[in-house]
Amino acid sequence: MRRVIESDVCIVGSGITAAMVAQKLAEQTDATITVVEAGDETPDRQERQTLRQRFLAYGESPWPNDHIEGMEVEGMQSRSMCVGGLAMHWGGVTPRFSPEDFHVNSLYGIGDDWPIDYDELDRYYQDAEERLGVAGEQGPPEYDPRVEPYPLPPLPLSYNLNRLQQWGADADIPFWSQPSAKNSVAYADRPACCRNDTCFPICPIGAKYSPDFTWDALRQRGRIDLRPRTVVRRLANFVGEDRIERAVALDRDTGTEVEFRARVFVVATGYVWSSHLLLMSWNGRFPDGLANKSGTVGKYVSGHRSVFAYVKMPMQLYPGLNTSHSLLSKKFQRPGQLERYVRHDLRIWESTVGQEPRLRNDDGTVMLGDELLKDWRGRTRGGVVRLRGYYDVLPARNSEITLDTNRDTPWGDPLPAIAFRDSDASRDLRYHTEGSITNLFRHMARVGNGDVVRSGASDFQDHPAGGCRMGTDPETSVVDSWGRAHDHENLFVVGAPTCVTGGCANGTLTFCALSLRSAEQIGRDLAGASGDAA
Amino acid sequence: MSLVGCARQQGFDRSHVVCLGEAVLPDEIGAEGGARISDEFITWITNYSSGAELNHAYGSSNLSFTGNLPTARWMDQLQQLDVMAKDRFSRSLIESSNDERRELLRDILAEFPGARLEDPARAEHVAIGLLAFFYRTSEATDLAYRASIKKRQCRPLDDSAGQPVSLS
Repeated sequence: MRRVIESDVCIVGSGITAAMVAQKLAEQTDATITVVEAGDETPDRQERQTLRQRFLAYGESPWPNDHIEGMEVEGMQSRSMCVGGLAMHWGGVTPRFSPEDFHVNSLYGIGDDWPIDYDELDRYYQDAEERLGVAGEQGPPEYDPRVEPYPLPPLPLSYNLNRLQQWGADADIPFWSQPSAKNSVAYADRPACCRNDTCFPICPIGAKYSPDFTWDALRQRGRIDLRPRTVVRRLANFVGEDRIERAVALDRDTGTEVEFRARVFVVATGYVWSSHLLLMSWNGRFPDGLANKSGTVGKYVSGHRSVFAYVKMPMQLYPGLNTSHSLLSKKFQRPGQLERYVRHDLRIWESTVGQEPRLRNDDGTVMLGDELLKDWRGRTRGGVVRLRGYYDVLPARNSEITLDTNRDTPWGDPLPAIAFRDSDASRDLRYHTEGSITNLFRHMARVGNGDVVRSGASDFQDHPAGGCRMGTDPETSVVDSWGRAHDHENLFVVGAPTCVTGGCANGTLTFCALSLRSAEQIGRDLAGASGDAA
Repeated sequence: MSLVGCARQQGFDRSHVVCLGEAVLPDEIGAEGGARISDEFITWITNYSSGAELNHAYGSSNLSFTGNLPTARWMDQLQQLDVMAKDRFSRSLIESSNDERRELLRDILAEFPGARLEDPARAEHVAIGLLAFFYRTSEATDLAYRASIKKRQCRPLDDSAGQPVSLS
């Protein structure tokens, strides 16, 4: 038997961007809000010390129910389908993008500009930082512009990072404390970080923000109706109209259909499942899927690749003081005029690479007892640092999410398939970009009288985004800058999928800021006022 | 359950594990420290769960699971050590000196390739398992650096700025 559930707003997905939207709408409107999540509930906070211990002792996943069997996607996709989504085990790292990220075409003649700029997004960044509880330190304003200070004082630099910050200064590179959604002081009824140092995959005390905190608070206040284990399979428009009427879902417990009706629908299911849902929602009026008159749903998926190095330094470091924390420089995200485009962030961590204990010495002789310890001690003299730069990969149109014709979900729907493809310009720049960053690492090593012991580049595109990119032209984009679908006035896509490019820094804070901006417009819609669509 | 009980449940002779600990762990932690680590190793074995989902990385749909712990093989290896001690030194493993135990272990471990002390659950030999178990602890790190780092332990944030207190 089919059930019908009605509300003012139906949010599909319960990850971090869904939490931002729901929280803001709950604050600013009286709207009834339903949140529909395909996955399961996550473990209670009280269980997390035990889950962490199992992770440390045995490597076990602290989130064993964070995915649905049969929903494995071909391509670059994390398994995370649960209440809170992937941000239940994120690292909590929250830099902003740089102003240049929004204007690479205007400034450098490659890629595409966003329909909004950094100044427009600043207050939404601030809003996101306050909701997440970001501890941060503003870097030099020319590299790290912002209007208001961070809500929390920065995570202190460890002894190791203090020394490495000086090394950076010697190389004429300013570094500062990586902004992070980890409490440097008690905040929002959560304690201060105490360096348990397992931020990824699990913070045992709740010092790191995760979306369950927002969901718990909203549920306690009766402001949302969160329905886990309910898979939205398609959205449907009113017959003969473009407006969305309902989300058609499957209750995983009973196998029965559930229909969610709402005034506004918000797709907040991340970069893969958002495009997938729209493509799956095809019908006679919209044969290529909803919001897809432009044919760009699923297109332009993007991210950033990384170049890394490990450098042996002639300074004594003590790995383990706060391994998860790092130094950040945005100097190379804001390079000014360039002969040839290369932009990237730059981070430094303490490391133990090459300094681990070992069973055999260089001659291959087995060591036991004090001999083994002595060997380890000898190799812990000095320090090893990890360097990494994320550089933006500008996507081709056919960098895409499509419906897999060979593989189905457990419910018989085609699974998504993911294929990342660089634009021609980005592909031509790759060798130059990776070489430039590697040369920078070598330069830094020389300045510190260190040696690069290992370096390389990863093909993995981190913090993937796109698929429902924003734009002013309905012919070339899926949503406007507020996340509203060009083709459906009451349908919003929020967060990662709406990004035009992946930038060259961790994307989660930007996804949250964009979602809060979308929520503002949704609130205006609900109030009956019309916003200024960009 | 007592540690002796744990050991028995797993089929281990605790005294053999303690002897092994005395041979492979650093003398600096002392006999008591060695026995404690050996007992913790037995507890770790007891609480191991095969078929548990391992932590999965970003960006991949692949899942992996814990395998079976090679407990039976490790027990055989401990008994083999005892037999070898009797053959070579005319004394049981318990009665042998640490130097004698190390001599045996060096001969045995020479047959096991690799220098890295990785996940103890994958150790091909029980001695390597015990070493891997110990050397990933916070205690071992502090011993190596001769400093109170206390990695992965709950510590005040502000205390991280100073050089760790020397333990030497």
